[in-house]
Amino acid sequence: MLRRAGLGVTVAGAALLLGAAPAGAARQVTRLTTSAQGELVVGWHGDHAAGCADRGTCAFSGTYELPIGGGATQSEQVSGNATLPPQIQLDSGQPTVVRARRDAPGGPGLCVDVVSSDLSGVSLVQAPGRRLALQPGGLAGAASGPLAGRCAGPLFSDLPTGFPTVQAPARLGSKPVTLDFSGRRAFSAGGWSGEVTSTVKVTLTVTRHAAPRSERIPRAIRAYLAKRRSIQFVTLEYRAQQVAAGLGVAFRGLPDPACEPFDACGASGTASWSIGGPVAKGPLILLSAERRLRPGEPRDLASALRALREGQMHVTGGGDLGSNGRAQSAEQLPGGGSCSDSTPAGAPSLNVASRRGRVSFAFGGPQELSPELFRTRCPGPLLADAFGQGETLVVGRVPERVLAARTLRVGGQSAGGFTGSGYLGSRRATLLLVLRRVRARVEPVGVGAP
Amino acid sequence: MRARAAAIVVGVAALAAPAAASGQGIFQVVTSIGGPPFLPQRVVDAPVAVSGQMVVRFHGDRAAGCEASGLCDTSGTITWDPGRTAEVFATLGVAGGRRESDVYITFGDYPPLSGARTVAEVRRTRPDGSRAGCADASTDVSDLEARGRGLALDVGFARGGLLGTRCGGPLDEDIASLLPVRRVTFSQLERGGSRLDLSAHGAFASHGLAGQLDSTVVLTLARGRNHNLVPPNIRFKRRRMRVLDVSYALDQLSGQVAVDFAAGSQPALCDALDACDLSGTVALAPVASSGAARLSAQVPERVSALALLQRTGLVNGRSGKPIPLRGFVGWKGGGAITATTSRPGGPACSDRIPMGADAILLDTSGGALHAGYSPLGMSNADPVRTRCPGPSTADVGQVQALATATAPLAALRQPTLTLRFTRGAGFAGAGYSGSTKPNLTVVLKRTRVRERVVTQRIEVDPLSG
Repeated sequence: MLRRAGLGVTVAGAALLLGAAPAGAARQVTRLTTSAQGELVVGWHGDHAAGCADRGTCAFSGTYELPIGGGATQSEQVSGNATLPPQIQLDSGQPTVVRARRDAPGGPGLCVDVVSSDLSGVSLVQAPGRRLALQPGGLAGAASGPLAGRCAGPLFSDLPTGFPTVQAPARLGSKPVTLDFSGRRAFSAGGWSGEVTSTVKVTLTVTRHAAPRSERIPRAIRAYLAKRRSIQFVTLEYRAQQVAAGLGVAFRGLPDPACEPFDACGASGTASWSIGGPVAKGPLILLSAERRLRPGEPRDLASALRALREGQMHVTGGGDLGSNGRAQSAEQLPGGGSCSDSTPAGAPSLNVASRRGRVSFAFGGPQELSPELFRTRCPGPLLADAFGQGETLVVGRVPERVLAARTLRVGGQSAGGFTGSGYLGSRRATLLLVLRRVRARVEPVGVGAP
Repeated sequence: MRARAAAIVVGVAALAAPAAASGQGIFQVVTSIGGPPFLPQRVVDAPVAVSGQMVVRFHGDRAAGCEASGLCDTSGTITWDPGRTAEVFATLGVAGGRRESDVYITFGDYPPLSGARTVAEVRRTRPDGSRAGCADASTDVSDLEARGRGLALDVGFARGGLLGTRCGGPLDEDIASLLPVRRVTFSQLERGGSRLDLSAHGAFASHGLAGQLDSTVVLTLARGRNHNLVPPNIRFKRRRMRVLDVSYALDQLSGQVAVDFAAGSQPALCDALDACDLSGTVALAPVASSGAARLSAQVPERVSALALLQRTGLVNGRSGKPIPLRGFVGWKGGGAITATTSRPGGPACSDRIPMGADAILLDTSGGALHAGYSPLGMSNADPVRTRCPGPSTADVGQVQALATATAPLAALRQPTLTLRFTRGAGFAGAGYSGSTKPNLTVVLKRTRVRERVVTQRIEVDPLSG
């Protein structure tokens, strides 16, 4: 789960702003600007030879239209020659348009959806053999996730990997380099056959200039930082001994005409995501607690844990529960027929924060872009339809004092109804974590603003 | 389209900036072509909870004239889904000595999964009786817009591109009379809790198409925030600039720009758009009832008036580094967009849409005056969208001018400036490809050259220490 891109840019900008330049040294900034134009179009249809009958997707065909370009992305390096970062998100600005046609005896059903470029966008990545490739996947890094929005269609993982590719330029100089990613490639996977067509051209431009003089710390921030305070940090490391989490929805199409754009009139089904079971060496959950020390106050670990028990420390942290989640869906299609599928899925990140003496362990949250967890190759509602966009999916809370204990058990659940685009239904979510503290250490006392 | 519309508003605002240089506040005066400058005084924004959607079902109708327009075999549904959240942004200010107010409601927050979109599913019956379908979606239009007098704001659907996709079908003006307008005051915006019911139900018949509109859109306003237009920690510095304005009256506007198109190079996509055997032309023929043009430049005061005139090319003589002039030709009036499309063995589709106010952008560089015509319609409407299926600006190119003209800088020294738009451009979108063929002439009569020095207030970057 990633923070929105804008935050990343802000953080990078702040880092650049606060980075102290060597006194008297004229810093050179190398800026690599990547601009792109063109489109990736995926045409696909259910194919018996590829196994569509197993999933019930033989009646579906459609297109993904991924426009690329309309803006430029920039990366900056302080001094040195321009090098290509491992991944460059190509600025689309335009969402992917998804069209899926379902052939049925009473006439075809059409589903049309629009998927954010943050979820479906294309990146320029480095491929083996000094080559560069276009890789759909978006900011959410949903390599196996769905591209189809609420419609039926192939997953990212069904598409050809790293297509298309071109030879990386030997060096990047002041002369712009245009890479032509035009081409066609057939694919057959996941019950689908089809073709990816690219008309994408990417231009890389390198410019060098002196770092602007304004890259010094603003007066107000300098004054704030000058107020010396003693801050104690405690790092707590937990291993998840048991993880059991799940999200599920039971859904049906909205009444006509709201169901019509999504070919959801008369459809019903279930979709779920789960991750769980005992884990031999579970994922690591890192918590950081901090407090402002008064003059003469003890600074050892025992004192810090005591402060933690008494709710005198502010706790933040989180972790990644791994990528062994699984999405499943089963749906009765409009007018008869059924579709069912099961795919590997990632997991939302776990966010930890304390407030008023309680510590919350939450999946998702504001400003977070969750991968689509329970979407498969079958049509159905999105996570955002059922749980809201940027909302916490499920949260477990424990009193702050129990963080001092070696073993922590966190549980939470939620349930409710939803009305989204095209679908309505009920949702539920559960979370159970058994965490064992494997390390606790006091960081050296820092000086700064709390 | 929206980005381009925004670009011209910014451009026009930049042109207006010197005149507003002595004004108060961090907001620049924004003016429309021919309209008085608008000086904002009060700004309120508030989150909005959104429910419902707007659905337009339609079919070719003989009583509405489908045989003449070639749309009798067409039927479909267009859905505008505003998403679940929005932001209202209202500005109260003074324009021409009167209190004016503007309100924009922008739908859909990050990411656009929950944002506004228009989805079209349009079907037609082929001559052999089989059915073909076009499916398309657009996220170009995500705003409601309104203008009020004083403290009251009338909120309604902006006439523009709500229904516009590449599949054809009814346009916003066909359903405009059915769309409601609701009044909200600044006090209500600040208090929150108001409910703007934009639901509507009704039948329409226009330009060969008939159908039913069903809107269930309801906006619920949360408590608004008042913005201080001049925050106390903002500091300004003064800068004296020499400004040159060259004004023209529009004397003649004649000719047209034709956009010829056929299916694009992506076979899967042309099938999804039902465009594989479609070809046609959209012709834009603007007519002006009145119009004007202005070219402007500004430099630091230390540049002499004579040097400014020489370096912009307005006066012959020894000159230094060229100073660019930028501006526009704007006009009010009529004209029409006509579309004709055809398929082998199928009926030809034809449509005609009136044009409104429009503009041509001007700038000087490389020893020449460059003019680009990218019809904006001064609204959200896509200038190449009609009731017939065909390309959108996504295919034609958002930043590409449909027609361009070039004149030597020496032409600026003459009392009459003639711009002949004869250079078109090719486009190769995924849905449609084609080219533009312009034959447009603009004749301008110079009315005034004005040079003056103004004092500008420039906001000091708070991060510069």
